[in-house]
Amino acid sequence: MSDRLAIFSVVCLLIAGCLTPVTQAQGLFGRSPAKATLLSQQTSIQPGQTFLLGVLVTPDDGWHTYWINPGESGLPTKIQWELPAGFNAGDIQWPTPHVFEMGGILGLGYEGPALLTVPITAPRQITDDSLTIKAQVSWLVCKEACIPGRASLSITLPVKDVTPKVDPANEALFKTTLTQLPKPLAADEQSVSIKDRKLTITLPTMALPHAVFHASDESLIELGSEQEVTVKGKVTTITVALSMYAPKTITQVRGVVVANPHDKPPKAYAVDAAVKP
Amino acid sequence: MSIKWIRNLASLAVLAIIASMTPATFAGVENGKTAPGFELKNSHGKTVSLSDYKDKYVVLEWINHQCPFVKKHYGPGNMQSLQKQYTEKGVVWLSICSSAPGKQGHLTANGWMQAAKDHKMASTAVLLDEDGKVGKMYGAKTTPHMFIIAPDGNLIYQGAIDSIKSPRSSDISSATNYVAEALDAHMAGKEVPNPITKPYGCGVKY
Repeated sequence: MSDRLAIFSVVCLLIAGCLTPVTQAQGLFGRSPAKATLLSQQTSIQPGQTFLLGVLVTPDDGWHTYWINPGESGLPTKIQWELPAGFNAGDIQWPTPHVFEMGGILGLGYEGPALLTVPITAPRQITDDSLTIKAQVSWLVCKEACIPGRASLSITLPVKDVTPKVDPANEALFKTTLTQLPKPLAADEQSVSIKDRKLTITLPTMALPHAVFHASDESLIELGSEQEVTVKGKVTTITVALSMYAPKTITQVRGVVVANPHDKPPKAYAVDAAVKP
Repeated sequence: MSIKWIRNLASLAVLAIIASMTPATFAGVENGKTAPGFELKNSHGKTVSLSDYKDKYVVLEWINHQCPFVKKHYGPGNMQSLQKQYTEKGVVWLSICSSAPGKQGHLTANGWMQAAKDHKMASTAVLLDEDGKVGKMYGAKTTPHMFIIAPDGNLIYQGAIDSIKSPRSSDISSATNYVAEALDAHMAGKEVPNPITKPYGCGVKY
């Protein structure tokens, strides 16, 4: 890069920094290579109803952010809500993660924009005409380097006691994200057992020869360790060794089974089962 | 063909054949077993061997000064004060950089001499592991990633520097420092309360 180009780039970065709106991400050491925005699926809040907000985290090209289990390094994106009185926020509905590799170190997360949707429940009684919901979002974004970023986001929505309309600006994004979320498995569609420090996930109603399991708890299994998949008729079992970091006692296992990681987008199923004694 | 593709293969038979092609192999080390020996050049160009420190506690600290998780602990002087506190008690503290040349955090021996001064590092030595052999032998995945070897040569701790996985220095005071906890317990003849934890940080830049 010539000196003139370098100076030009720095000036551009500085100007961009000055023009950043509230929703623009700030890294701890300047601009973050990812930005976050807070979006609503619908245009108003109906008292007593649950609706979806989403934090859209968009990394720059070549950068990635992390799943709830970041893999061998990294950190998951975190959302801290500041809600009006009586409101409740549920857990992040994490999109299916991808596996990526840097210098032999494996990570789980998102190489493109990821909409982290969260169900918000409004109280039955609301006296305000409109309400503001705030979210403190922090993330780690990595390429070769890792840069922590954070943003204070907010959204204001009118309160109306009518069935809310879907916001046309966000409709497609929410729809795509929600249809691609890991599909929750029913109690009779999943079982989990542990024997000799090996975890076995059984899906009795699906034949998934290319399945890969990722645990939500980063200490449970080692990312990249061998997973033995067997399919007999419509029954798939995945067996994988517990990692050296796994707790001594494990009572519940949560995670996703990705049907075939090479599919775009991959189909995935959400596992949430008590460990069979 | 990428590693993730290889690692995601379901078939064990195919995996076994392809595993030998995987470039990065992490051997890893086990607590309670003899820590594997190694020789590396320090920032003064002198070869240092683990066997030079027989009968001493040895702390291995994986480092990359450009990683925000390393900055978290060096910015407020937390890592340096641990280095000072324990080297004064006779502990050998080796800060190891496994960043490959051209990758983030890599410095020449001269660069490390300067960085050690700039950061007021108080480790016994900074060791250069440019080909990543020692890092991969120990299974070092993140910066920081900490290992403790007891005077009998056995590994007694491996994992995170502390209990709060964040890049914020403000979290240090409320976290349990696993390295201090393990050293203090073992020196007092007690069992190490958390001998193995999952490390957190940036990936090592092999």
